[in-house]
Amino acid sequence: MTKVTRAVVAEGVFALGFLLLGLFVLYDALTLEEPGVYSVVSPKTFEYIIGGFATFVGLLLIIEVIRGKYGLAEGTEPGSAFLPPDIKTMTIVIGSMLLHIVLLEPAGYIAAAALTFYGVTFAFGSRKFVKDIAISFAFAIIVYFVFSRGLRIFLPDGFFENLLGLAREVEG
Amino acid sequence: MENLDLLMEGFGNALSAQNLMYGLLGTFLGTLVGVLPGIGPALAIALLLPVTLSVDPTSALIMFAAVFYGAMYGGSTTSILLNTPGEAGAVITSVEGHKMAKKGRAGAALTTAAIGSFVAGLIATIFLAAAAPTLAELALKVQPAGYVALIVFAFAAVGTLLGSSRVRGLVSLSVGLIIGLVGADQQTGINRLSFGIQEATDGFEVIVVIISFFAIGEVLYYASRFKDNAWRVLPVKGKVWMDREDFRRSWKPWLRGTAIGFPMGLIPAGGSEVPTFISYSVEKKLSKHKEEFGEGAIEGVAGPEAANNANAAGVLVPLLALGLPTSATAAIMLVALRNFNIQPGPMLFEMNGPLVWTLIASLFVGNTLLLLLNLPLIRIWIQLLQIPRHYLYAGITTFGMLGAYSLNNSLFDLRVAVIMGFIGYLFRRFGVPNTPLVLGVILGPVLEIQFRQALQLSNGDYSILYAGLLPKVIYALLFVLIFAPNIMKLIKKSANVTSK
Repeated sequence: MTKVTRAVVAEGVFALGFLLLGLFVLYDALTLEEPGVYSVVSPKTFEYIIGGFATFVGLLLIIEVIRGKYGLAEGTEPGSAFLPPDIKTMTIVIGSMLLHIVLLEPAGYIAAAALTFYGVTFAFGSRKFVKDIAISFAFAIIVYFVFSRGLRIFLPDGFFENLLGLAREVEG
Repeated sequence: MENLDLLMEGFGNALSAQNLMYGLLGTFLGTLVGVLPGIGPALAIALLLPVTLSVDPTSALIMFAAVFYGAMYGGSTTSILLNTPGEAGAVITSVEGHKMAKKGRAGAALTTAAIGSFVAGLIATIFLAAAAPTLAELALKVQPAGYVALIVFAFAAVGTLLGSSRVRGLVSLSVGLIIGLVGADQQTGINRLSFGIQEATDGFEVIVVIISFFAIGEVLYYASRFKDNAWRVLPVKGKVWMDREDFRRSWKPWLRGTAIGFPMGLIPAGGSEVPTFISYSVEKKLSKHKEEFGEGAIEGVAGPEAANNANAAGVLVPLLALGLPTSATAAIMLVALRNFNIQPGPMLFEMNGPLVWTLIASLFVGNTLLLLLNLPLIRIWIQLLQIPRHYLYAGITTFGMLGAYSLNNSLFDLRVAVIMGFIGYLFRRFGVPNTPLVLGVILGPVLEIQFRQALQLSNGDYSILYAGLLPKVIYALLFVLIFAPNIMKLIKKSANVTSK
């Protein structure tokens, strides 16, 4: 009997999760409100086909996992030791992105982007605080000017934009 | 030749001073992003999409073509110096090229890759200009049922041929198709899989899905493997140029690679992996220096690089003429073209003639600019490889979020981006290939439209799906494609039995 390792459990959870996704699509198709008018093909038909297909593939995947055929993580060699994911680094990266979503509209692009940039820098192990914060802001300000002023793509203004905007007016 | 006149007109558009500037900018940005470690051409193009969206269509197309070639070239630089191929088609380059770099011949490897890509791109674009309009004319006769068959074939080919496991390819395809379902049905407005979320009724923005799937997924995957991920850039010592002997050994592989890569791009079978591998084994067989293969043979870089580039141009033929992308890069191009209100497909050359010919002319211009810009700048690009990892990933994250937001100025898109990034991570972690998902997201809705049209024509009679010659031929091929490995096994088994 094969030893149940974390990697095997992870494979099982992934396969099961995917199967559930397929079943969920079928369930969604089943509970879809009846369309009033449509010509020949109901919007349900295609959802049934895709849900059915995904469920079928999900079953194949589970069989594959049971047979001991696991996915090879990208960049690894067959037989190389499985490394548990670095949860801490991942959490900080995801946290930085969520912070971006929360801050973007109230605080403006530069503040949000600089914080996200800094957060990821920190997550990837850099501890040169002053240099990293300076680069984060430089990156955010350059991107803001290129996109907002140069390419005329809308980015939300906030604290730093007003600060810089005011500074520009005073200079001009 | 009427088409030749149109192409000349296209050149006229592409070669204005302003457009050349955009071409140079595109080449520069494409190489800049493509050269960054871990960023393949597909991701580079996706990241740079927002930049091209605010420019007028002609300039944007030129910039886009330049980004396309720049990103391809940048990717091969990383493969050679870092041994981190950004895409399947560059794997062989990294094998042989990295060995050359270790021997201190990085300059020759980079140069043969650059010139080989140029030669292949040039020849393949000529064939593209000839083949695409012809194919489009033929495709005008294709009925919806034929399209359904073509798309199903492309799905099956890309889903089962890529990656190590056929099942996992289909997992990727299914997730893509499901993402494509989200939102209001085009015909009836019925909401599928939208969980009562207002923004979800418009469906997921395809560009947001792709950018975050590649970019955020990449960052999260490297974050998860943070501890065991270190790389070492090989220095480029000595002269950058190739010597006479290198040229003598390179020019035939360039041409053979082109001859292998282009036709294989035409078949909606997906992936530049196969043509580069074939090119490699052909060069190995024909070489007088067989012993060098695996140790850094220049033919092993020249051939596959040319095959990869010719293949990328070949993929554009079904993309432009049928609206059928068969690689992740082509799929992203399709999305970009749609954003310029260009709908690839049989009607393309009639509806958007001038723009398409400008695009094809731009491919020539972009390819040439690339050679002119990159050979002298090789040393500068190499400096880019020295960017510390933490700044690199911080930049990709921030830029990916910017791309996701700037399209619709929507926070919902940013939330989708984080979720898609996590899916991208899971795919890498569990060995699920990326490309089928991208095709599923983009072609799923197209498949539904064609499927409906076919059944409307037949008044609900499902037999129309395999009526006529084209669908029958395609489904027969599909059957062979999927079950070929099993059939081969059976034949071998029975052969063994009889021989005993």
